[in-house]
Amino acid sequence: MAGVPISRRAVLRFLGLGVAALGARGFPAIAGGDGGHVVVVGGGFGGATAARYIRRFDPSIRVTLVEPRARFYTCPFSNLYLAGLRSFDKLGHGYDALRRIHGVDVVPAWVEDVDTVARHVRLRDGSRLAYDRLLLSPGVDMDWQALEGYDAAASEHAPHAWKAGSQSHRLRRQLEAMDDGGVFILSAPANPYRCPPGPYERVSLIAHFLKRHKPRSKILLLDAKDGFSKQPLFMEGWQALYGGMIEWVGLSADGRVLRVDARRREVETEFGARHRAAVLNVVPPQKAGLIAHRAGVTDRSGWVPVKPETFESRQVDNVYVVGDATVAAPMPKSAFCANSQARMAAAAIVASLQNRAPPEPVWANTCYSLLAPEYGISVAGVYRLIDGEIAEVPNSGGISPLEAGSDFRAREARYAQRWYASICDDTWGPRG
Amino acid sequence: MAVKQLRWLAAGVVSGLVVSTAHAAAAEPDPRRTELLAGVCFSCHGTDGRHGGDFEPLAGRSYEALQDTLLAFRADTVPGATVMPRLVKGLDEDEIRALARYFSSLEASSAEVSR
Ligand SMILES: Cc1cc2nc3c(=O)[nH]c(=O)nc-3n(C[C@H](O)[C@H](O)[C@H](O)COP(=O)(O)OP(=O)(O)OC[C@H]3O[C@@H](n4cnc5c(N)ncnc54)[C@H](O)[C@@H]3O)c2cc1C
Ligand code: HEC
Repeated sequence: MAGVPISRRAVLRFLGLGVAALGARGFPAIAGGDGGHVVVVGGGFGGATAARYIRRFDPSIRVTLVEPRARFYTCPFSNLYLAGLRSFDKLGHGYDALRRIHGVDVVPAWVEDVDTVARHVRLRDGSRLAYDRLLLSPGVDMDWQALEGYDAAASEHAPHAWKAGSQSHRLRRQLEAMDDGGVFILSAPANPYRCPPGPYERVSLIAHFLKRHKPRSKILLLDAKDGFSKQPLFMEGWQALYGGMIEWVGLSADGRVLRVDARRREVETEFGARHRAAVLNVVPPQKAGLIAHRAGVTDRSGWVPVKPETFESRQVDNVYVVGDATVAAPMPKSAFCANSQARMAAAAIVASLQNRAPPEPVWANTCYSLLAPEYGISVAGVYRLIDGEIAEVPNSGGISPLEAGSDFRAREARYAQRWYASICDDTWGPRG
Repeated sequence: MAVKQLRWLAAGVVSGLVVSTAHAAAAEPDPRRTELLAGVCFSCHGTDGRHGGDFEPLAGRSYEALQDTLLAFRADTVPGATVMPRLVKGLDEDEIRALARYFSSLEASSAEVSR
C-alpha cells in the first residue's frame, strides 16, 4: 500500500495537539492498514457514509476522513429551524462514533488541493496525505458568477441558507425581525441544484411560521423553471393549509430572476419586473464543491461525470465522487441519494482494492417534504443500471397520492422524522 | 429454486454476520449484493434494520413475516401504506426473499461490533 502519511503528525501539530494529548482523550490507534489507504474528503452525508462502510466491508483498509468542522449541521430539517420548529442544535452531528466505533481516522482540516498523479491530497497547513483510493463528497458551492449582483458579500444581506450554518441563522433572524404584512421572496434556480423540492418545502414552512406570527404577510416564489418536484402535491397542500399566502411564479410567467440588489432586497426578472422584499432569500445556481475542480474531475457543466457502476470519475483514475457534486440524474441531489451512492461506492472501492469486480449497483431515494409539522409528502425511486446508464426502475417509485386524507399526510410527516433519525444514524453512527 | 439462487441467499446471510471473511471466489455472485440491497432499507429502518425511530426493528423478525409483508406491499394490499409499495415495486421476488432472509438472520438489537 501507499506510504503511511507522516503528515498526520503535522496536522496534529498544526492543531496544537500532541499525539499523547489525543491518546489521553481516548482516540483509538489508527486502525487497519494492510488492505490499503482510502482518503475521504468531506464529512457530510456522502463522505461520512462512505468512510463508515469501507471500514465495515473491509476492516483491513485504513480510512482517513478529512472534514474541517467538528460538527456537521444538516440541510435536511433546516427548514424546520427557519420556521422556529426545531432547534439548530438538533441538526448537528459529530464524528466520535466514526472514530470510536468504526475506526475511521477523522482529521479536522480543509483539503486545499489534490495531486492525482502522485496520489496525495494537500491540506491547508501544507501537509500531505497519500492515498490508494480517494473519495470526494464535497457537496455544492454557490456559483457566485451565475447571477448578477449575487456574490458572497450579497448573501450577507439576502441569505441563501442553502448550507446549514451562519446563513441559516441570518435568514432566521431576518424572518423574526420582519414586520407583519411584509413580503418574503424566494428566488429558485433552474435545474440541477441541491435538493429539488427544498425551495418549496422552505416556503411552506415559512408560511406556517408567518400564518401564526405575521398573518398579513405574503410569500412570492420566483422560479427559473416551469415545473418542480412534487408540484401538484405542494399546490394542493398550499391551498389547503395557507390559502393564498404563497404565490408561485414560474419561468413563463416571468419568474426567472436575472439581477439582485441585495442591499435593497430587490430582484429584477427576465422581462424587467422589479420586486422588493422585506426578506429576500436567493437560492443561486450551484456547482460541485471547489476541491472537485482542483482534482480535475469536473467537466464544463461544473459538475462531476462518473462511471455509474462505481462512481469513479470518468476523467481521473482512483478518484471516486458521490453526492451532490456528481452528475447522477435521474437521481436527485439529495442526502438520501448521497448516502445510497456512498454505500455503493464504498463497496466498489473495497472491491477494487481487493482486485475484484464491483458489485452490481442498486440505489434508492426518498425525499420527504414537510408542508407543516403534521403534513408530509414524499417522492421515492429505485434506480439501477439499465443499458449502462442510471435509470429509475419502471413502474416503481413516484409521489404520494393526491387528495389523501389528513391522517395520511400526518403519517408521512411522522415517517419523515423517522427517516431523519435513521439516515443520520446510518451516516454518522449511533448518536453521532 | 435454482442452485445459484440458494448460494446467493446463503452468501447474503454470511455477509451479514462475518463481513470480513465473506470473500467468495471471483466466479461466485458477490456476497455483498444482498447486504447492499438491504442498504436501501437502512436509510429509514436504521443500519441493519435495527434502529428506525419508533419503527419496530426489521432485524430478527421471522422470514415468513418479512416476506409476506413485503410481497403484500408490492401487491398494494396493505391498507394505509405510504412509501413502501412504491419502493418494493423496484425489487423482484428473489430480491424480496433475499432481504427477508437477510433481516431475519440478524439479531434484533446487537450493537455493531466495535473495532
Ligand atoms: C434546505 C435544504 C433541505 C434539504 N432537505 C433534504 C431532505 O429532506 N432530504 C434529503 O435527502 N436531502 C435534503 N437536502 C439535500 C442534502 O442536504 C444534500 O443532498 C446532501 O447534503 C449532499 O451530501 P454531500 O455529501 O454531497 O454534501 P454535504 O452533505 O454538503 O457534505 C459536504 C462536506 O464536505 C466538506 N468539504 C467540502 N470541501 C472540502 C474540502 N476541500 N476539504 C474538506 N472538507 C470539505 C464540507 O465541509 C461538508 O461537510 C436538503 C438541502 C437543503 C439545502
Ligand atoms: C423512505 C423510507 C423507507 C425505506 C427506504 C424503507 N422503508 Fe420499510 N417502511 C417505511 C414506512 C413509512 C413503513 C410503514 C408502511 C408505509 O407507510 O408504507 C415501512 C414498513 C415496513 C415494513 C412493515 C413494518 C411493520 O412493522 O410491519 C417492513 C417489513 C419494511 N418496511 C421493510 C423494508 C425493507 C426490507 C426495505 C428495503 C427494501 C424498506 N423497508 C425500506 C419506510 C421505509
